[in-house]
Amino acid sequence: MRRLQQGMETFQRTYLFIKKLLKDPAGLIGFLILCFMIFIAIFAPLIAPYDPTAVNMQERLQPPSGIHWFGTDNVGRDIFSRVIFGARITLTAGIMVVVMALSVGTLLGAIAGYFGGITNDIIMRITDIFLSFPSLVLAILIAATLGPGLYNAMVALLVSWWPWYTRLTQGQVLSVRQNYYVESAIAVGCSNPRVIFKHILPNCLSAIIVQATMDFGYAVLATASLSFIGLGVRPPTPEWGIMINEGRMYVLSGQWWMIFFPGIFLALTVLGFLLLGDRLNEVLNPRLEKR
Amino acid sequence: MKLIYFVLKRFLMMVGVFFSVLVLTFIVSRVIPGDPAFLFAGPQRADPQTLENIRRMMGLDKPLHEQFFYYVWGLLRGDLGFSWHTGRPVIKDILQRFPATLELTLVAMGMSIIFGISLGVFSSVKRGKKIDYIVRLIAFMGASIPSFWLGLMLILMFFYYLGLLPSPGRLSIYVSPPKHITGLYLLDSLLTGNFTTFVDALAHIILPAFCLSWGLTAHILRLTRGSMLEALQQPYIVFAKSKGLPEKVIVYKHALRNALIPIVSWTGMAFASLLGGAIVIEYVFNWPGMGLYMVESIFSFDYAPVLACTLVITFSFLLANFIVDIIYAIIDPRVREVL
Repeated sequence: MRRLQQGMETFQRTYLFIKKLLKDPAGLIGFLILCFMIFIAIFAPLIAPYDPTAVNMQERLQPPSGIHWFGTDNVGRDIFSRVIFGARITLTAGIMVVVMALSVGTLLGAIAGYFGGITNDIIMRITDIFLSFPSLVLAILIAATLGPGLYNAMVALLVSWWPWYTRLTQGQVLSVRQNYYVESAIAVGCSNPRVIFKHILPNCLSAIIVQATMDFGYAVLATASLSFIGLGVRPPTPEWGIMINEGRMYVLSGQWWMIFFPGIFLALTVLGFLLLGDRLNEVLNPRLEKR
Repeated sequence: MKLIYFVLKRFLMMVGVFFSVLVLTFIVSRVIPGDPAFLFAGPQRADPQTLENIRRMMGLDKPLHEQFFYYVWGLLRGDLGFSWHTGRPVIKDILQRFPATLELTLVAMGMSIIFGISLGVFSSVKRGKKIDYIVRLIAFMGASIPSFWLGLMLILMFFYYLGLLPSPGRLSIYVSPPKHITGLYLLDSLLTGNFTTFVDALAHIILPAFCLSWGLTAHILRLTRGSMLEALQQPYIVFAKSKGLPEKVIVYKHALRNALIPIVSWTGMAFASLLGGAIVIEYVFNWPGMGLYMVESIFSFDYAPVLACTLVITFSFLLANFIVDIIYAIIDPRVREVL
C-alpha cells in the first residue's frame, strides 16, 4: 500500500513537471517536434510509400508531385521515403553519441571531483588536452583515421565530446561535495561508489540533463556534418547529411528538392532539442527564470 | 602580477598544451588500428616494397618513443609529410591555402561580432516585447539550421534564381588574383589599389562568410542578451537612470561596456567553432582553403594532409586563445591573479 502511494506521488510529480515544462510555447513546440520525429522514425516502414534505396533511372530528378511528394533524386529514389527512413539513423546516432559521451564523461568527472588530489589532476589534464582541439576538427581527424562509416563517425564524436561532460560534472561535484549531507554520508561509513552514485550525482543531474538535451541536437548536427563531408554513413543508406551531399551539385542547376527536404528535417530536429533544452534549463534552474 | 609575467606564464602553458596535442595526434596516428605506412602511402602505391621503404623512412621499425622524437623533430623543421594526391610536400600546400581560410574566418568573425552584439543589445533593451521574441527565434534558428545546408540554399537563391552573386570559388575566372602581400585577397587588392579585384573578392566571400558566421552570431546574440540583462539590473544603472542620463548613454556606455567583458573572453573559444565550421563551408563553396584541402584529402584517402591540417588548425586555435587571454588581462587586470 505504501509503495503504491509512493508510486502515485512520483507519477504526480512527473506529471506536474511535464505540465510545467510544456506550459511555455517554446517547450511545447520542441516537445511536439521531437514526438513527430520519433514517430516517423519508429513507423518509417509503414509511412514511406517506396523502398528508400530502390533505384529507378526512368524517374530521376522529378520535382515534387502527387506521386513523389518530395521529388526524386539523381538515381530516381523517392526522397520522401528516404527522408522518413533518415530519421531513424540520425536520431539513433545522435542519441547514442550523447549517451555514450555522457556515461564516460560523467563517471570520470565524478571520480575526479570526488577523490580530488592526483586523481583529479590526471583526469582533468587529459580532459584539457582533448578540449584544446576544436571539437569538430578532432572528430574529423579520428573519423578519417578509422575510415568512413557510421560507427566510426560515432566513435569519433564520442572521443571529442566526453571531455565536455567531464569538465561539467567535475565542477558540479566539487560544489555538491561541500554539503553536509555528503560529509555525513561519508561519516556513517557509506562506500565511495555509494556516496558518488546515491548522494552526489543525483544532485548534479539538472545541469547534466540540460547540457545533454541540447547536445542531442548538436550531436545530430555533427553526425550529419560528418556524413556530409563523406565520413559518416556510406551510400546508399538514407541519411540526411549524405542526402544533402548527393544533392550538392544539382543546386547549381536548380534541382532544389534534393537538398531542401532533408535539410528542413535536420534543422527541425535540432531545433526541437534546443527548444526543449532551453525550457528544461528554465524549469530546473528557476534562478534563471526571472531573466 | 605584472602583465609581462602573465604573458610569459600563459605562453608556457600554451607550449605545454600544444606539446600534449602533439602526443595525442601521434597516438591517434600510430596506435589506432590501421597501418600508418599504408595510410601515408595512399591506396595506389601500396605494394609491399614501397610499404617497407615508407616504414623505414618514417622510422616505423623503431620503438615508439624514438618515433615520437623523429615526428616532433620533423615538425620543427616544417616537415608535415607528403601529400600524394597533390604530389607536393604538405607544408607547401598549407602555406598556399592558409590565407584563404584565415580571410574567411576573420570576415565571419567580424560579421558575427557585429550582428551578434547589436542584435543582443537590441533584444535586451526591448525585453519581453514582440521584437525580443523575434530576435530570440533568430537565435534558435541560427543554432539549429545546418550551415552547409544554408550555404547550398543561398547559392540556389543568389546564384541560380537571382543571379546576383557569382558562382562558388574565391575569385571569378577572368579576374587575376592581386599581388601576393598577405595572401588575403581583400587586403591585398586594397593595398595595391585594385578595386575590380576587391569588389569581385568581396562578392565571393560574402555568402561563405555569412554561412560560417551564422551559428556563432546566434551564440554571441544569446550571450550578449543574457549579459546585458544582468548588467541592466545592476545598482549603477539604477543610479544612472535616477541621475536622468539619456537611455542611449545608459545602454551603450554603462551597461554594454560591462556586459562585453565576459564576451571578449569567450571569443577565443568561438574561434574553434569557426575553424571547425570552415571545413564544411569551404567544401560547400569550393573555397580553396585548408578545409577544402582536408576534405579533398579525406576523399582521396590521403592521410598526411588531414593530420597536418588538424595540427595547424589546433595551433591557430591555441594561439587565438592566447591572444584573447592577453587582451582580457589588459582590459581586466583582476584576471592576471587567477592563473
